[in-house]
Amino acid sequence: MSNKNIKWEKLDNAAILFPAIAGTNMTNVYRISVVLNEKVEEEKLQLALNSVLPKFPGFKVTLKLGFFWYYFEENNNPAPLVTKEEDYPCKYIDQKKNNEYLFKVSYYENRINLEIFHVLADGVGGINFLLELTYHYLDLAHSSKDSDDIYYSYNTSINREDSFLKYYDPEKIKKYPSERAFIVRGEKMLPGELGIIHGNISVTQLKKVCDSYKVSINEYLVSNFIYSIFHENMQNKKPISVAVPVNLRPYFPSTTTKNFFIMVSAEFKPTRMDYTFEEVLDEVSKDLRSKITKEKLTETLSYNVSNEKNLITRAIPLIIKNIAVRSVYKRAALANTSTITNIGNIKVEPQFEKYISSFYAILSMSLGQSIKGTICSYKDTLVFTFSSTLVTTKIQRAFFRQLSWDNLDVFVESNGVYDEKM
Amino acid sequence: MLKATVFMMKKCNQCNVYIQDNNKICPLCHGALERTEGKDSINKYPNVHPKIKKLSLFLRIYLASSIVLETILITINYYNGHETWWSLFIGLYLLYGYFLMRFALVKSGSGRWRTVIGTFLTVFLVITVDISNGYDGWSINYILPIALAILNTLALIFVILKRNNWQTYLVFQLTLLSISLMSLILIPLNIISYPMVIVLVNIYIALSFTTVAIIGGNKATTELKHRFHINR
Repeated sequence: MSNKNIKWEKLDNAAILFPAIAGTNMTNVYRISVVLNEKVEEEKLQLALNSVLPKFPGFKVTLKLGFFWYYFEENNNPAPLVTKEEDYPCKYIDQKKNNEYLFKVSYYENRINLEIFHVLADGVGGINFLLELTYHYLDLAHSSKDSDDIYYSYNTSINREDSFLKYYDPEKIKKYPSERAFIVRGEKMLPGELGIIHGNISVTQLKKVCDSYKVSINEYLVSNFIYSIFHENMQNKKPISVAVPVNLRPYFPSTTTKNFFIMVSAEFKPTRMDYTFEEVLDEVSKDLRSKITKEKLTETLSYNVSNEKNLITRAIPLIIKNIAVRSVYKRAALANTSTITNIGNIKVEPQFEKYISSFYAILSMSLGQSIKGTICSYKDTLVFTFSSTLVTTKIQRAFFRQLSWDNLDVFVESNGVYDEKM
Repeated sequence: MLKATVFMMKKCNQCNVYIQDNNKICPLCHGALERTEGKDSINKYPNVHPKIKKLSLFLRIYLASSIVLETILITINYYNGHETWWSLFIGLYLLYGYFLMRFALVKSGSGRWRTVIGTFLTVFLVITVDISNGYDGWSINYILPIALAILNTLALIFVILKRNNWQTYLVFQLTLLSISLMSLILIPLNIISYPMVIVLVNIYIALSFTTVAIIGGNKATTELKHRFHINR
């Protein structure tokens, strides 16, 4: 019997939820992709992954079931196999079929995809790993160095602190309301299918438009999404609420690669049918500004952590805790119409810029949310990506048409699902 | 600013957007696209066709046939005098067959837990056979302890064979020990009339678990600490 001490770590506050609710229908997997200016070579990508993985202890783990909590344990299996993309994005990651890892790497033509089970890391942690993998790959593809002696970025973090616990303030716990929101309904695609539409927009053009409205890019795009949902469902009087994950690192200094975000809801409560885009933009941007303050974020963060700190919660066996978590999640999920995540502007090290064309991210679907959006930008191109399991594309159409009415050039690409549905 | 000349291959005049991939229609409004000059663009995603899961289809055919067969049998049973409801027992066997195939063939969850569920389904079926024949108690007295002993022996074999993650079977053994200890409650309830077998099996499982835990040393202790960590 081998007696080597196995490293382990506890799940962060946001991650506790994911193993309890994840399955083939609600995978909680997100994808971040980098598009290169050249075709990806499978063998070199595998070598790069083999080389990068040992340097990221946070990704070199497997998920284990404890009596009271889930936990991560060091995974000493070989790195997961790099595969050519052959399926829809964000499929369920079955640990047993993936060398017990919680992420997958695939490629298609010029694109490298990193798919991560959200339990492992948030977008910042995911980008961190993808960039390092890309640097290693490019270094391998463009130099004659040995695979063990390749580039390692000085910007890369491997910090695995649970920053939720660090910044939890027991004096500032405040429960947030969870009113039922409007749910987008419609004919669904076949099980397992996922429709993707990317819209590429110039950041320079977009900034000009946002300046004219006196709002940020994030506020403009979230408001446009809410307006598009309203526009296609004008009889609805329920609040249209879009969950916006807020990266907490700018507010609470941290370099953790674990999850460190909380959800803030951008809300719009329609009372009539004739709102203009400007009215929705004004209401939503004010709502977001009032919620994204350090004080409000501390209250939400502290409330979330207080639940796991509770002695009774801790002492309940996991099997029962999971039932309670699912029930709480169901209530919370139905309080939002959709989710928009903003990965932000991705910067790469100057020597690799010439090899990289773009980045984008894709979210999987969750309870009551059949359409979601992601925002991701690189250099002067912002990509807004819709993922959806609905056959109809009327919300996406309204969204991009609004951009067009604001004199923005929009370049659309899809994964072909909507072509097949005709 | 994005350069239209680089990407502009097709345009949807309804939506006023440029289409960068090889779509024949606009993915937003399903309208026709206006072709513009430039080389053909390529699709950036693979052409994925929904895979027909043959296994799932087989299971659904089995389930549908079983429901039809069971309905016919219940009807025959009813019209030919129903002093004994033999059709319900056949229904139970068909259901058992379905769940056993589902747990054995559908690849979700780990192999060890599928084995446990499959074994207990079999034990459950055997108990119903015993009950349907007037309950002699042989199913609970012998079959249940034997099933627990077999599972424990399998766990021991894996502890020896799996040199790298043998410690994960400790929890499996601990679960078996909990189930076998719980089955001791059946003795004072007179459901188990011949307690020697279940007592011996309890001793066997407890000793195996203790032996593995002691020989496993630090790694076994750490595994149990991880599994039972309560503080966050």
